[in-house]
Amino acid sequence: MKGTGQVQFRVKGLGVEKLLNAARKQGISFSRVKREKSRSLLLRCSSKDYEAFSELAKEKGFEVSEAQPVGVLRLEKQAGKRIGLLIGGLAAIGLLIWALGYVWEVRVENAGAYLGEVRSYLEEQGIRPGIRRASVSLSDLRDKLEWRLPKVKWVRTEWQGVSLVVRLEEGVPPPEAVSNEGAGDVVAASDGIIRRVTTYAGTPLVKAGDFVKAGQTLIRGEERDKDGAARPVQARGEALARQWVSVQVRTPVTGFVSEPTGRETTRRVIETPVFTWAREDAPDYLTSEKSREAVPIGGAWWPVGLLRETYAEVSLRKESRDLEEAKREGAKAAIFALNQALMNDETVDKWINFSMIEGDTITVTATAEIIRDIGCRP
Amino acid sequence: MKMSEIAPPEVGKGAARIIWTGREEVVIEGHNGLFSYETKCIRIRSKSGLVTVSGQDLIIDHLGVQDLLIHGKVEDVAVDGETT
Repeated sequence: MKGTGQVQFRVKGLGVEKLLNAARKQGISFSRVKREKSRSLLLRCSSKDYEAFSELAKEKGFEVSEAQPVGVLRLEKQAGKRIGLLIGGLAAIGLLIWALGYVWEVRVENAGAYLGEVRSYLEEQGIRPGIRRASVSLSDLRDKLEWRLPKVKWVRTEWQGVSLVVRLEEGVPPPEAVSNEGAGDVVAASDGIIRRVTTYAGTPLVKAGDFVKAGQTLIRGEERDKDGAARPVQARGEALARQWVSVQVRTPVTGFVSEPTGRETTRRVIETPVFTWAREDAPDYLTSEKSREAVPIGGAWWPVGLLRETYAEVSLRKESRDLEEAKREGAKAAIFALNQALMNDETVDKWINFSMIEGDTITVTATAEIIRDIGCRP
Repeated sequence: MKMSEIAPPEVGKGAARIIWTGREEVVIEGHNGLFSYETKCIRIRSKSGLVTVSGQDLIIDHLGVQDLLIHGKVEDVAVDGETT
């Protein structure tokens, strides 16, 4: 037995223990010694000791079976028998190592408006699928992109398997600084009926129940001293007002109903992922309904199908819809649009109005009464 | 590293050292050879006397020049009939 490693074999004879002791005196060690029958043992030893043990056993009249390689030796022997498999396996590992050395995908994430710019920059630098991975320096690429896109908060470049991922995080511009310095009024941002005015600084000019228009001063930036002298201040306060928000949607009250004329044409079409081919042209019906029946050719794994297309000519007739159904549909759409417009305002009431039929449509108006702080700095 | 390389000094002088771990493993260092082997009883020669390991499904996991490792359901270990 060539090579190194363990071999397994069977020893038969009377008093095998004596044989093992004799072998032990020659420095041979054994492992996995297992009693099989009263006169036989299954055991393992080093492949290089097997020959010596075998000679000794024969000398002493014992029967020793042929050695079977185990562990690494067995793998070596099996691989030797299947040279094609071994070469194929090694080639596959080599191919995999080679493939891992290249970039197979370049992905740009979260780039938003900068997507085009990032892609063109990568293209300029020759960073595209197929280049060697070693030729891309992630830190350099990140630094250059950050320099090129100053409005971007940060750029992250990383490997995800064989993909190069460039991820951008856009900077959020800070809100415009509101000056808290100097005197100033609080004015109405929009029309409304004042419900309550809470003044923290300045002099209120409106009271509950007043109707105010956008831009009207609600709290003046002025206060009076004990001696009655006017002193300019920065007005601050809250002006809650009732407002009405409306949205309108139009919904049709007529629809088209199709009626078959009785003319019908069927044609066969061959469809592949690349092209579609039919021997006959589609019929030149003004309006038609088409149905398709697919027959796969060559099973599910072959992406070619035979289609049977049936064109049934139909005439279209305008017909009134159920008015209540049209109203329900319009009301649902209007409420949805109204909720989108309201955001987080406190809602007091909501209602729906329907117009008369105008042409083929009705107008649905959804209105909400809300309470909103309309005070703002001019 | 072989077990013989880590055996204590008394092993070199001929005294057997028996290590019985749990119910599954017995190590005998400094033995003088196998006397008999059955799956229920293994007898080993040593300078201290005949070591008898009794149990079920006993196998000799390692039989070296100086050391011996037995695996299986070990029920008893005795030297010259004296239970350890």
